[in-house]
Amino acid sequence: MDTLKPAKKKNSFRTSVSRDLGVIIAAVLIAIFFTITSPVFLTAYNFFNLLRQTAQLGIIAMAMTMLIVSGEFDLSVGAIYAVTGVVAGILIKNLGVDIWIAALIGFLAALVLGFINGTLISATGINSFIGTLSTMMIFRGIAMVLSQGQPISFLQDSFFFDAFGRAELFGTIPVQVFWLIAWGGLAFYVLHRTAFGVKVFASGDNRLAAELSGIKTMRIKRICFMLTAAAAGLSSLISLAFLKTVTPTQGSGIELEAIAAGVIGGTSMSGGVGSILGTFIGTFIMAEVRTGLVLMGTDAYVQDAFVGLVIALAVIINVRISSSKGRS
Amino acid sequence: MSDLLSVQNISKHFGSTQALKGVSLEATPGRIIGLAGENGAGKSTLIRIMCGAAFPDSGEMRYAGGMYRPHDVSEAEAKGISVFHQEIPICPHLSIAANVFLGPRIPSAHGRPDWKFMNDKCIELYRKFLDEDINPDVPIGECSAAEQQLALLVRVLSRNARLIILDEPTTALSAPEVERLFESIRRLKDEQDIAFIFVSHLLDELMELSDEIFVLRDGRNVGHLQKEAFSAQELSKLITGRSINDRSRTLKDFSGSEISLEAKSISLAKHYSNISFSVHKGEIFGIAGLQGSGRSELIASLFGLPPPEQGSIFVHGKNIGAMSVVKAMESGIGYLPEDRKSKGIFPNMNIAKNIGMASMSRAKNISAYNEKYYLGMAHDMAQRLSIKISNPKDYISALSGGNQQKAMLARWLALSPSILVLNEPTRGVDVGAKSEIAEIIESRAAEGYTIIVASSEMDELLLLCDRILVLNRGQAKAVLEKDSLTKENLFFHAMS
Repeated sequence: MDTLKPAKKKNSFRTSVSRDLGVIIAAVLIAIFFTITSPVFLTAYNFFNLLRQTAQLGIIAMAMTMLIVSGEFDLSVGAIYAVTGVVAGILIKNLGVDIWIAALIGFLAALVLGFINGTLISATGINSFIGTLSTMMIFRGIAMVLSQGQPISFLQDSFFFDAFGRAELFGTIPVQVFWLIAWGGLAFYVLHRTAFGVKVFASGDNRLAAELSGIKTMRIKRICFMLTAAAAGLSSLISLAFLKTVTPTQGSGIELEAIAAGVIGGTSMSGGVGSILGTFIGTFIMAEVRTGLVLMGTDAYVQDAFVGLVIALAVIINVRISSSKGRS
Repeated sequence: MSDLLSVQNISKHFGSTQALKGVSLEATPGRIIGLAGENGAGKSTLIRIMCGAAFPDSGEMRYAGGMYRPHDVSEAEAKGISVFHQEIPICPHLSIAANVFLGPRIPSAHGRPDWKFMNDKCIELYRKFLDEDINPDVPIGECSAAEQQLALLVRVLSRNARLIILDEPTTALSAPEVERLFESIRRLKDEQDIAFIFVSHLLDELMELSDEIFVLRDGRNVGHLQKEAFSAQELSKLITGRSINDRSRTLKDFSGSEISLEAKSISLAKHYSNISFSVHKGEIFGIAGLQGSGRSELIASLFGLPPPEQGSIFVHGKNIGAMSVVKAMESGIGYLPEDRKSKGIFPNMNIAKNIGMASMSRAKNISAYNEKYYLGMAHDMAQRLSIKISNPKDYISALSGGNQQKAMLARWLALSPSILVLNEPTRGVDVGAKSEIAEIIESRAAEGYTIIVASSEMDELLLLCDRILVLNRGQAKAVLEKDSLTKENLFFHAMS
């Protein structure tokens, strides 16, 4: 039959990696810029240090990307991050629970909070901005009440601290980098290589059409909320292990940074568009800019302004690219 | 009378696609010019050029005696050319008067909007242009779609529009609303001497409203008919380049064959009540009725959107209970929604995923996404349904409306359901794609699929269906079959 005409348009460059090519090039250009201005920027030590610092944000941002692709987002991740740490901290310090069990319970607490978010949004249909803004305040309040507003520090030794935050693999690679890569690989597989991932994209791209195709979008979104909370829990354990301290105020602002990293990486806030690799690079770019500015000797207060500039630029470029693709 | 706008020999290309190849057209004050053509024939490009949204590569336009080369839409509007698109751009929470005067120069007094002036002026404008008395304080969101369009007409007329281009203005309107809009357009043409260019893919509407019709095909003028020469057959021939077959299949009697789906006195408050019917295997069963007759709600109920409140639905002899999307799919029902854009397509996904989505929803969450399988599925479906696909990895938006609609059908056929429920299967597609979709439906029925189809286009149902259930204000008026299956009967039961 004559139905399959040879490809006329140059549309075939749209594989999953080429989609992220723009942000990868941006990351490389920024690296070149800082390498020229500061000779220590391009060293293995600095590279791994950069990844170590960004691991916690990256883990949360990649899960948040799934949630944003599904058409929702979560402002309460920072508070979940705090609750996980505080719950584990109290169990260890005040109740003398074994550190591994305490960490597991803290992680399960994060999952429960994610389930609450997901159920709240899917059962009542309220907008996830309002829904998670309120749970953000509630969860943060829980962390404050449980800890009486005080930080909790640990003095004992345990393999747990090494496994989650202090060991260096092969003597050079911080263990956080392992967790970042492992979680990133898992997130990539789930979002880009499973039927669940396609359903996530479908739910965010056109919720009604997804429902009419038989996809239970509410269930998909609830799972995404739980995955995001799981990421916050894991991140929190990494922080606990690295710092040997938890504070009830930790992680405030991380929700917006996670969303920003996704947006830099090409995730669309309206859902249905985004990639794990893009977000990974987006997180990396944010860390690059911060570290590079420090190495250049820039005033600390200027850094946030620069990161803001990067976000704005990234969004402008993304909008340009996607609107030129949309034209026929 | 001399031409107001004269388009001469306009050509335009986008990339390697030649959208217009030397098109000409004239619009005259006090006349309605119809513009017909399939999707992709060049109608939209021509409109974009006339209203200043695109530049022609060659050719020229003359307007009101001078050269006309608008640089943008606002320049065209300032000269008196306005375009009406399918979507109605209003601010729903503002009043009619506010919507009429909304713009850079809102009438104001003492630095505040002058509502009194606007309301009085609005009433005056409505009297002058439409000969109607209105309450200008009503929020426009509470008005019907036709009234909203009329408000926009008044708005451009108050800014001295002389040529108004109507691009598919009736898509969002019900039959009586269309009549209302047409009446106002005719009045404006006769009394205000406005020139109209009317674009539609509905042949009936084109012939009813236009004084003459220009037909485009593949970017060229292929016909120019005067009112006396209008005929649906001639028009479809010009538009598609071939003649449309009449009913190709003969009516069969299915009363002896197995019943696939049976509705027993089902009701949904405010929409339909006490409806019973049964559909046999291999049969094409139509549901007809005017807008608001419950037609759309009844057919959506068969897929649980929402389910009927009373009565029961049997599929292959089994009582389904409360129908839902998942239950419907499990019992072998596929559903084509009436609005492809909002309920069908995934704009950011490729063709293969769009076609495979209903199959994918059956897959376990943790199972791997097998891209090859879905690309193969898209390929097979493209062959079976003659979908013009160059690459199944292209975005779905690369396809024309008709091919998108076929892809929506393919989504369900890929699951091999036993029953296909089609709500407005040919809405928003051009004449050629219409007949192709009708062919697809007929050949599925011949393969043994049971098909239930609802449509607002009665001619289409008459061509396609073995039996037609006619709804009128939520009541089942008749089931037409065999000898009683005539246009007269259909209209009589639907309207009386």
